[in-house]
Order: sequence, then structure tokens, then C-alpha cells
Amino acid sequence: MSAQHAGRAGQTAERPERKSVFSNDLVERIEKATLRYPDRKAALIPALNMIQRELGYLNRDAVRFVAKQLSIPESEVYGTASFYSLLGWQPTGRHVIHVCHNLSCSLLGAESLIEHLEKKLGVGEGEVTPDGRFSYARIECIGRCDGAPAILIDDDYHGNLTPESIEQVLEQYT
Amino acid sequence: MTEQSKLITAVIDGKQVTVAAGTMILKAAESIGITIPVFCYHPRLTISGSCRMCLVEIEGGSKPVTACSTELAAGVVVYTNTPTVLEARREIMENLLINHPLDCPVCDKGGECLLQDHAYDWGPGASRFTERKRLFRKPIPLSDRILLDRERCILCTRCVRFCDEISDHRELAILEMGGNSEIAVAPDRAFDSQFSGNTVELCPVGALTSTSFRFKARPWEMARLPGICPFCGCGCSIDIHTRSGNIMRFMARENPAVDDGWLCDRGRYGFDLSGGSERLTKPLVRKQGRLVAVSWKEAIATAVEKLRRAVSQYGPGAVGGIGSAWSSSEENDLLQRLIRESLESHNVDCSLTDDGRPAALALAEGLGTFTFNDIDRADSILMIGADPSRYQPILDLRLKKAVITRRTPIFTLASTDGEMARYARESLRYRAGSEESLLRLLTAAVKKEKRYDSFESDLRAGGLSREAIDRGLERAGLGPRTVVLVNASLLTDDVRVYLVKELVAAMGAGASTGLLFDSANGFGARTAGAVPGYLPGLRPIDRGMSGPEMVVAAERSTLKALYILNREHHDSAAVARARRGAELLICHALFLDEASGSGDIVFPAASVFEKQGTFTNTAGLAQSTAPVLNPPGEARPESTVIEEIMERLKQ
Repeated sequence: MSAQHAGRAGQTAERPERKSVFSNDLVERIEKATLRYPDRKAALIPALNMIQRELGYLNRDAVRFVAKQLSIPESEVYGTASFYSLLGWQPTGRHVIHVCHNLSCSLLGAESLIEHLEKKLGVGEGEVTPDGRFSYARIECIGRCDGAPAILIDDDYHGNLTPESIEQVLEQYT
Repeated sequence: MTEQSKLITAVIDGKQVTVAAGTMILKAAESIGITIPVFCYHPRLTISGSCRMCLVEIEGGSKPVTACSTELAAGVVVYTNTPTVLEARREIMENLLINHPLDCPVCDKGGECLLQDHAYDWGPGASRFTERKRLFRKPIPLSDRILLDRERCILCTRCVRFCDEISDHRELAILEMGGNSEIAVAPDRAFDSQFSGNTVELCPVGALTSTSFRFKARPWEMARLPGICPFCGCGCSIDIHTRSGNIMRFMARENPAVDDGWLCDRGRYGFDLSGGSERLTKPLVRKQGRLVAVSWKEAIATAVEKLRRAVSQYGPGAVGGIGSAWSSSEENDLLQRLIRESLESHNVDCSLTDDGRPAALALAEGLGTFTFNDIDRADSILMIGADPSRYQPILDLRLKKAVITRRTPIFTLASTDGEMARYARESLRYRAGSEESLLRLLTAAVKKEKRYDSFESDLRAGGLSREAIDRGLERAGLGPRTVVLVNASLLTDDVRVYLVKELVAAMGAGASTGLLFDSANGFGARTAGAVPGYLPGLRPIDRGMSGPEMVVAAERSTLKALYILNREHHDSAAVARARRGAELLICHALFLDEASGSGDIVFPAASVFEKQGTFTNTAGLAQSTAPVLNPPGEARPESTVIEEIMERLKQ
């Protein structure tokens, strides 16, 4: 999760597959994104999002690639990317579960939900299930206090969860 | 608008203050002697307003405001010491100290730390925080020169702003958010800016430290003496911190005419050369083929006798002297007097490998008149073969300032890659060796002359054309206050000097020219007369051999005696060549190496930190330095030795 792991993630990214990740298609889409703003730099977060979606996480090469595409310093890309908890630095499962553990959700049982989830998935925070299907991480408030305890799977909200209902939710994701 | 209407008057702590409209409260208070504590504010960086330490109250205002970023409005009444303000300072100090390790006893910053000082002056004295402080692996190297202790950092962003605004290298950023924030470089990158050391000095706490000073000394143990950095032609002002006869560090000492308060890392961390035990501490004289330590009396007597004999046997023309562009003007002056007055030879130069005369001719012809402040006011800047980022780093910051703050157009012409090309409106490459054609073409282009066919073919071979130069001149928009910066080492003959003169003249009366010397006293060695054909003050005199000519003559044994100042700054291979045929080789040296060891008489010299001297920087600014250390053993400043030899030669 933490940006401190970026160095480590960066090393694993030496694998040959990364060539195909920063594809011409990605370059084109980032280029297109820059056209939406008066300043190329403004496409930074969209670009990081695109890479995160393709690769599942960010790494050293992603930082360098985006810096080059947008003509901004690598430090700025790194600083911005590390600011957002929805951007990560470690490989994730096909589906990422973000469990809110902020005030409302905690009061309504987020911790027991997490406990159940860890048991059910058999992995700890930041780890990927052996079948590659899920990984989970805690997250701060996702703005769904009305449905606490709430989680985010990929881009979908799920609220008013119990250990039982979370299992049904998980089944929707293969 | 008159000057008067731009001024406003207000009251701070009961004192009336009149300042220019737009002045921040902090600066206005400072102008009447009221100090407001700050962390993130720095006078030479943009305002961040993030540390909140400078909160003050304005009468009638709803809440305290930051003095660093709030303009003083006419007629307001500001208080910097109300209970609310003091309470705010206490709370900010308590907050900042929550995660601070309070490891002052082992912190290099201890004793000169804003956090310490402000905690003492304004802190609550006790903390209510009983939870775990954040812990980090410490320190992490940002480069081989700079270390970061993240838990000490108060996230003032001075270092980040320096990299963004001053060096423009932009290596540092704040990572993460809130309580997890930390300063970092991009993954697998190093903080390798040649200006990185400035961030250590800017850091208000002990978060950024330098490897060269870490755990070496406490600030209060050191003597601080003003000096001039001797490591390039800029001559930045420094404070030299010494302890027990050792230089511990250099700190910047602001000189608006040169350095704006910054130093480059080459200067800041370059002091470690005076190297204790290896230094030569006794005069050496060759006896039966071997160098033997002798008394000063004997060494000087031997030098006098041998010099006298060389002159009487072979004539004055068989004797030569080499000063140094890295030695003081006084030393160069004495050297040329020894050769010209005492030995009546005209063979004087300041280098064994380059003819020092053409650059002296350029100075005599009125080139080299620019000042660093001219860069701030320039309409445009034309750089020929110059690479200040590498050879005059502080000038690099000056040029960046002009480009960043004033959008000053720069036109660079160079034979190698240089950082300034990135800041130029137009940057062209020429083939090394085609400088003469380039200068002719440039002048023709400035004069809008059509006659250029004869030399253009030479340049075309190097990929340069009249069209490209016209375009560059147009983009740079040469104006009445253009500054032309010429690498002094391109001035290898008189023709080039006159071509530069013609070029500058074609630009108009307001243009100024800088000759960029990469040596500490390249300018001063010439005005001191340590070049062929010029006496001190650039008064012409008969021209003897140049340094390279002396090497050739010595090799062929037509030059019999060679006297060399500042051996460490001369090319060893050239010394070896001269040695082959010379009967007498005298040198002043710090160390005994192959070259100085080949001498017949070797005088142990004082390093630049061990003697007085005047150095003229590349912008013609003469600055004197005082000794901060004693020479080791019997080593002596060159000047006293030369004076004594001259005295004895009279007898």
C-alpha cells in the first residue's frame, strides 16, 4: 500500500511484461487525456489511473513513464501518486476490496468484517489470494457512512454489510 | 503613481511602520526590529505559509493570520505577542514535537536548529502526547552527499522549494499525506543535483544532513571565519568552520554580487584537500640525484645560486616562470616580478598547457566587463562555448533565475552538451575547432551582412548554418543590454579575441561581455601580469615565451630553468616534459608526487586556506581572503619565499 514499498515494487517491475503494459494504446489514451486540459500536467491523475487499471499497481517504471509523457519531474509524479490511497504500489488481485475502517464503519462493525474477510480469503492486508481473484486493503472514509459498514470492490460500493452478506457480495466477482 | 503613494503605514506592536504596499507583515515587522518566529518561510524562496509558526493577530480580525503570507494593509493594527498568538505558537510547537524524536544530543543541527530555538522560546515545555511517535529507518541516503532522517522532518518544504524554484532540478517531493508525509526522491533516483548541499543549510531542523559533516562536530565548537570559495571562477562568499586546525565545513555567506547566498556542492564539499600527514612540510633540495630535506635557509640559498648561475651562464631568456590561475594575484605578481625584474626574463605565463596571453588581450581590449548582476537585468544572453552549469555553477543559478523569473531569452552555441541548452530559446551545436568561423558568422549575422560564404562551409561541416544563427538571434532578440558570455579557454589566439570584440561592438554600446574562467583567479592572474606580454594592470611589455612554448623549449634544453608556482594545479605530463631537458626545476608544492618530486628544489607551500590573498572572479570582482589554518610543519606561503629570493638576488 504504502509508497515506501515503491522501491521494492520497482524492482519486480523489471519483468519483460512491462513493455506490453505501456503500450501504444496507453500512450495514445494518455495523450488524449492531456487534450482535455489547458496544461498537460493536469492529466497526471487520469494517467496514473489508467496504468493502475492496466497493471493493477504502480511502480518505478510507471512513475518514469508518466513523467516523460507529461513532461513533469518524476518526483512530482511520485508525490502525487503516493498521496492517493486508491493508487497502490503492490500487485493486487483481479478484484480489489477496500474496507472502510473510519469512524462510522468502525462503530458498526468494520473490524469484525475485516476479521471475517481475512479468514474467508485466507490472506492478510495487501496480499493476493492464491487464485489471484482478490486482494484487500483498509481505506479511510469512502463517503458512505449512511451504509456503514461499507466496502468498495473495484469501483462498486457495497453497504450495510454483515459477515454473511459480504460472502454473497464476493460471489458476484469472479 | 508617485513613490509616496506606494507606501502604506500601519502599526505593529504599538510601533508605527511605513513600508511599500504589498509588503508582508513578517517583513514589515522585521524592518522595525520585531522578529516573528518562522519555519517554512525563507527570504529567498517562495512563500509556503504551511508551518503556521508566524501567526499574528490583526485588530478586528476573526482569527490569527500568517505574517509571512499576509500583506500589511494600510492602517491596520497588528499584534505579534498577544495571549492568542503565544497560545498558537505553543500549540504549533507541541504539534511539531509530537513526532519529532528530540534526539538533539546526537543531532548535527543541535545548537543551530530553529526547532530547538523556537521550542526554547515559544514551546509549551511539556507534551501531552503519550502515543507512539512515528519511526523510520534512519538515516536514508538521498545521495552520497545528503542524508535524510525522516522523523526529524517538520515538512516545511524549504528543500522541495529550493529544488523546484532555484536549482530547477525538482528531485524532491512530499510523499503520502497527513501524518504519513515524508520527503523523498523518485523511486531509484538519487538527489544528485550539484546544488543539493543548499538544502542541508536551508533545513530548519536536522532532517537533512551531509555525509561529510555528520557526527563530525557540534556547531558551537567551531571557529567561523569568512572566506572566498577557491574552487571555481565564481568566488562565492563562504564561512569556513574550523576546529582544532581542521576545516569542518563550508557554509554559504550571502553576497548578492556573486552567489545570492547559495553554494554548489563542488565548492561546499571540496574543502577536503589540505590532507594532513601527506603534506610537504620541509623544503627539499636535490643532492647527488636525491631530494633531501634541508633548512629554508639552505633551500633559498640554493635557489638563488642556481637561478643566478642559469642567468649568467645561458642568459635571461633561458629562465622562465609559471604562475597559476589558481594562485592569488599577489603570488602571481611576485612571480612575474621575480622573473621580469630580478632575472630580467620575459618568459612568464600562468599555465603550462595554455597560452595565457589572448585572454589578457581580451581583458585589455575591454572585454570581460560583465557583472553577475548584469544577468539579472539582461535583455538577452548569448553564450559561446560556455558551460557554466559545469564550470561556474553559481552562474548557472543566476541564469536560471533570469529565465524563470524574467523569461530572459538565452541563445547558446556550444560544442558539447550543457544544461543551459534546456533553458535556451535556441541552442546550436558547433564542431570544436570551428570557433573562428562561428564568430565571423555570428558577427556577420548581427550586422546583417551578406558576405559570409568563405567561412560558412567550415561551419556547415559542423552542422551549423547562417539560417540557424539568424533564427537564434531572432529568437533571443538581442537588445541594448545583451550579455555575451564567452568561455575564456576558447580565446586561444589574438584573432579570436578581436573577433569577439567585433561581435560585441556590433551589438551596440550597452552589451557587456563575460569571459568565463573556470579557475579561481584566471582573471586576476592576467591582471597581475603572469602572462606573456603584460605587466600588472595589463600594461604591455615585451612578450616572452608562453607556458606551452616554455615546455617545448625546456624539453629541447633551450630553456634551462623553470620556476613553477602551485604545482598541484599544473598538468603533470607537461611538468614531466619540461623536466626532460631543463637543468633546473623549482616548484612550490603541497604534496610530493611524481611531478613535484622531479624538481630540483621543492618548496613546501601553504594551501589556499593557509595564507592571505586576493582572487578576482570571472566577473572581475577582486576579493581578499585571510588564512583560516596554519600551514603544516615548515610549509610557507609562496609569497614570502619569492620575496626572500628576490631580496637575495639583489645582493
